Amino acid sequence: MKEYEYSRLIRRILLYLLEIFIFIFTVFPFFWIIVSSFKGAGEIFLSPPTIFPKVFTLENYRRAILENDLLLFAKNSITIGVSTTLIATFIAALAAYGIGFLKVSGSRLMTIAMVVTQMFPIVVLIIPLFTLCSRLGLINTYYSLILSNLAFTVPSAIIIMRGYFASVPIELGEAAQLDGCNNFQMLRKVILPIVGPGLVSVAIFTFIGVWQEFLLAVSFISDSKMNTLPVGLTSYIGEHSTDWGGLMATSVVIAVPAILLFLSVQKYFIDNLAGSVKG
Amino acid sequence: MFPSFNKSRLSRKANMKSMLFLPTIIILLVTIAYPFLCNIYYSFTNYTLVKPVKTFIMFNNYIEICKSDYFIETIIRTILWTCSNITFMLILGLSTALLLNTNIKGTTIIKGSILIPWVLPEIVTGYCWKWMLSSDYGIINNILEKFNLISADFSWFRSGSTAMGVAILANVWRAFPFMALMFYAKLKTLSREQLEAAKIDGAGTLQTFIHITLPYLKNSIQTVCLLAFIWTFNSFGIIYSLTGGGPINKTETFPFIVQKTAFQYYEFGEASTMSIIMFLIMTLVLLAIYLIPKTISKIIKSN
Repeated sequence: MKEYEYSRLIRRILLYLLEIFIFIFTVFPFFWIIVSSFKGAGEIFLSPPTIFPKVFTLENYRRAILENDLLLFAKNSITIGVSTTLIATFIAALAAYGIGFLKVSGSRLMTIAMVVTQMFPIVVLIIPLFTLCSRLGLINTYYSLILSNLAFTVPSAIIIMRGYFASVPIELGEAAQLDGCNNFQMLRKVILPIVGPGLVSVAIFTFIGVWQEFLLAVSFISDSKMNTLPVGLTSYIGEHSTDWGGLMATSVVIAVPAILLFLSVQKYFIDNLAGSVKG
Repeated sequence: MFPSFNKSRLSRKANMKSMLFLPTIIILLVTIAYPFLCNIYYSFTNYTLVKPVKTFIMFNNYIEICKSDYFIETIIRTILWTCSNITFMLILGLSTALLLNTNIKGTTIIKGSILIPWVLPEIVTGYCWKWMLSSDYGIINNILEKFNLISADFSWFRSGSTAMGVAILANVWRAFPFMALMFYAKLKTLSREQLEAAKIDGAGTLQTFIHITLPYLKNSIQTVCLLAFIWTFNSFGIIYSLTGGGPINKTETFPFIVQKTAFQYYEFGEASTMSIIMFLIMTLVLLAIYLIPKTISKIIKSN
């Protein structure tokens, strides 16, 4: 009996150690971004580094705004993110309504197409997308990024939304039909109020994806005034020195909204994912 | 299956379906199908931004690229990058999921904390690790120096192997929470009775894990590995921000060289060819992941 108790204690201690390790491992980098962003120029390069800033300063943020166009990049990111999200959510909701609730013919084929397009590497499409945009004269405009981002947001949005529409009881549809609703009225009056919260969570998720998209933005935009926030980060890396303070301040501006938005939808999202990754 | 209201409605409103799917189909045709076909066409031309004329040169690009050592090295490196990433993600993801599934205190905090790496934008993750690992004032280098594990002028980014190592570390950090949460969601549904029964039969912790928990997770592991494979194989941001492909191309993976060839050298034809080869390799691997287990079980059944 004693030996059994003893091994249980060892096991508990090991589990706690693993817990502490995972906690530090996951939280520390983010913590380090935040504290670094509030350190002044002298302190950020101290060796050994201070854990918390001795002098708490907003100097990095000031420099990011005044010298590195932070607000302009934020405006670009928000414009592209919001436009893509609105268009993608609207388009995806229509298709998901057809696939998930009405189950019109061709739904299976559509679903398969969505899953396949999910697997397309971006780099396979990036060159023709670029030439397409330049032929249409969209290079260095918001439209080039909105259009290309749609390619990667619409399929995933449809896949997630399909489940929401499928969970609406079919009787509601029948009742609406008896009341003389056509399919669009049914969608607007009966279905949308039920799936609304789900659609909002998909929209937020889509926005997060576009907000942090990097490959398309860095390839398509050559005019630095049109940079998105993630591409703006690269401007702090100089030939000989890096402005780590400004870079960390901008990182906070990118990461904090993404994290807050994610927290607002995480419950929806994780349950959904766990449901879609069936075992 | 479905009430008749659907069919009868639709026969009267045959255009309804096209109205619902049309926007999606248009978007996919314009942004995926057409570009993909274009890309295949470009891969057979000597298309560059510098010269306005495209000439059709058949398989020349393919032959040139497959002959170059640079490209072969990149293939091997990408495979290494993908395999080591998935291995470490699995180990860390599984152990985290098992930890979350115990009745130990503090798992709620862990559930929250592992969301951070998952949500942090890729590019921010890359720069953050670069900052922590920088040789003069990086916090990690400072700590390791204190314990005399590395010398004062040590840099992770001077040799290919250490640079690749830290890139894998940053990418695993980013991706393991997803695995952990997926496995945990599956573990929650594992019946306690089964585990209790195994205990009564005298199975140890390890035996229970091997004979009950692992088989139960088998399908989720397969699906999650598939997703992780696609993401890791195509990932670009971490390598771009953390190592920039350096030192001397030693950390360049497939997506990185395609992007570089296209948007730094403007060799569109060549870059298209690279991306098509990459796409073929990826598709083959995905098919293999799907088909191998099926074939094995077929062989077993036929015996």
